[in-house]
Amino acid sequence: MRVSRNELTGLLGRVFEGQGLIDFDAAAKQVVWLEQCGLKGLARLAGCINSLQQSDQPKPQLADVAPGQMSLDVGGNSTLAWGSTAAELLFSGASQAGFATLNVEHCRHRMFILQPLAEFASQGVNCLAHWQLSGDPVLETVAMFEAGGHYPTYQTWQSSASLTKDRDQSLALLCSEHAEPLLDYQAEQRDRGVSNLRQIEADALQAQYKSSLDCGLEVDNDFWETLCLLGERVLVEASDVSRSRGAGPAGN
Amino acid sequence: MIASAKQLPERDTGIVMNLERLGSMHSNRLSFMRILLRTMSRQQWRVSHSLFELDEDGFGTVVYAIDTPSQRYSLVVFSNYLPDEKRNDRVIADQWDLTMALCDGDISESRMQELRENVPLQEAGRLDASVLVLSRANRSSRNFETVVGALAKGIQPSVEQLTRVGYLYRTTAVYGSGKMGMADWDKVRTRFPEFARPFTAEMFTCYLIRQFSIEQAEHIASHRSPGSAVPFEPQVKRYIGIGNATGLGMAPYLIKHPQLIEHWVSIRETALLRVLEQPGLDSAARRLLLHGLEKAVQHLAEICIEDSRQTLLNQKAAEELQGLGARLAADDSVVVPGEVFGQAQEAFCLESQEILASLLLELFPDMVDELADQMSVEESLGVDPVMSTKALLQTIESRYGWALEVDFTAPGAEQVFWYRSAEKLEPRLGENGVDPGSEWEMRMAVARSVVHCTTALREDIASHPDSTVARFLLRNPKQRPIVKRVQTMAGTERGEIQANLVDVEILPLHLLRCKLAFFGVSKFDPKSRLWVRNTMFQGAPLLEELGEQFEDDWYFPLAPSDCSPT
Repeated sequence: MRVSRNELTGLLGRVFEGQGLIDFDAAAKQVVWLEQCGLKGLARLAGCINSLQQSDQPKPQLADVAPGQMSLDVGGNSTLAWGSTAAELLFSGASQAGFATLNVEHCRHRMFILQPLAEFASQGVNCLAHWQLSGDPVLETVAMFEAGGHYPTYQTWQSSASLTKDRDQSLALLCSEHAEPLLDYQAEQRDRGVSNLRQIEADALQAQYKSSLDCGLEVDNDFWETLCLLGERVLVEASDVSRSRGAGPAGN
Repeated sequence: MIASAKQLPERDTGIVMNLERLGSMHSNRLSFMRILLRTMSRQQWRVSHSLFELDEDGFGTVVYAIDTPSQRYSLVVFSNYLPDEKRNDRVIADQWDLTMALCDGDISESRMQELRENVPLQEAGRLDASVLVLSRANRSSRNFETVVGALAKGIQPSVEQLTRVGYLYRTTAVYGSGKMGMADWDKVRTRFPEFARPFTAEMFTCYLIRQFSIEQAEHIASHRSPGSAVPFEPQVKRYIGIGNATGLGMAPYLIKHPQLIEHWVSIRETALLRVLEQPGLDSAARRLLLHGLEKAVQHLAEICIEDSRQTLLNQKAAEELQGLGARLAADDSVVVPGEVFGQAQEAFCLESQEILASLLLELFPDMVDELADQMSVEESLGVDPVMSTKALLQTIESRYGWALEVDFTAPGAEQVFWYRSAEKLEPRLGENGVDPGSEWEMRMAVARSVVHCTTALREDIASHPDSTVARFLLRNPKQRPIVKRVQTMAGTERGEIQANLVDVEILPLHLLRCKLAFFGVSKFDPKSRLWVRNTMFQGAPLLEELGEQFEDDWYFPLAPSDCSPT
């Protein structure tokens, strides 16, 4: 089925509210933005929808390693829960020092960081996200936003580098007034050996985004039903009393 | 003492954004319906039937083709039989007399079939991104049959009856902006220039429902009595509007879209200030003001409603405005808009003040109408993580003083909560400790959130005196939604409705009426504190009158005086 961005955002907001995410509207935007760019936001959400419940999540721990260099341990929580916070810390650090890095540890669903980064990149800073996925070979992803841009250049490649367990749940974020440090970082990663490099240009993501506005978004029927069911958690069962006292109009 | 011309400050934010004042607003030149008709006239929109298949009882399908400078649209109307016992204005209804959809382009057979299968289902149907608006309407059981009966007998319907209920149909929901799979607002805004202002497509749909209601009534009458039926006289036809019933569903919108509300209110205030800065009225403007006052007084006198509170307000406003008209008429000295309005602000009730504001905007159309193009804004609430926590606290104290002044320890200050019902997500009001659902309370209590955030900020500053908002939110994640709102709105003047919306005394009606006034409706008829009936497009020019000679003077519509039944 096809749905609009507005109804998908609204439904996801209710789903995430029901799962206890504080900024459920922001989380919904994170998913929908990926989907609109053609980066499979909904498929990624389908893979983690049952693990988002925010109960007894540890508080994220921030450590200042050096000026402009931070580390954030989110205790295994989802990027849908803390992604905006991470992007804000990164941007705040770069605003003060001109360049900032934030290494996020013990995080899940890392792809969802892209929309919060897009928000700040569009305000005029360069941003980069880098993560690795274990396997043989290791799969690496770098998304880089140019200052003022709304969409990243998105690269994936296979790497022969070995991967520790922690790196599978780590995310490197960089933010800078100037593009050079980020380009240097990107080159450094690729110098370690790259195969099967794939790149999606920012223009292609933007075109996909605009197309989704024109045509709507395709959603699997069963997953839509799943989301509707989850979203019902925040709805209050109706009764004759609520109909008569809580609303109007009351008939003809 | 009133400030002299050209030295007037804008009205204070606390005055403008007071909930009761917002709930006293009336339509004006910048209301969306007024803007729409000016646009239709200026751009010479053409509306014709591409399909008119109604049976003798008025059931069937009609498609209007709308040609604008940029493209063609189609409004598809399905008219189905509805037993009286099924007719229900509530959002939870599942059958209606009329259902309709405003679509991009022409309607092919296959597309018509899809629409036929889905539009009558309303919320239970699915549409696609080629549809801009979905709506439905119910017959006024009081009016429809007698109006058709009169036409069939060859006489005009009773004006007295139309004065009591000035419409044949009431819309009970008008959906746009991506609901049920329709085109998102960003698509409408960027691809359909005629509808790039907020709610323009929705208002246009209502305008054509009114047109349909008139045509259907004449159609049924002519089939009922082919030899004797008559069409409406033009002035009667013009007096037929389209009814509307609005409930709580509209209220959360005003809270969820503070940037848009800020824009709408500020543009209206800018327009008003432009008028108030004029040193005096020439004879034509003076006559127009006196005429407007007379119209407003008569309009108020013609409103027939049961609500005692609104009836008293209407009576008081009529008295005050009549007195003002008499004083101005008896005094030959130059009328200075700023002085007149200043005196009204000191002496008149809010209802009168806001009617006068609307009338003043009529006097200088060139200054006011150009602001219509600024009614749209791209909305986005965002955190400024670099701001220091001390600066954020100062921002709250300077911009949200109204919220900090609310005494949440007072009895009833947190007695109600807003929630979404499982019935079509309808927003409803509950009472804490009485009704279920408070754990899923909607975020309507901006004032309370500001108070909580301020407490958290003060505690945080005590332990981290030189911190940033980014780090404050890391330590206090629950404050993120309100911080985002406060920081975004700090740079604006009038986005926040200054009221405690969870107080037991809250009148949600004010929220509804504020938005409806921006839409351009008239004859507010409160049915409870939670919902209001009103009339759209009453007195508005008919399609055939929207030529180059279009007179944009249909504010405060009056009953036609020379069409009594014969």
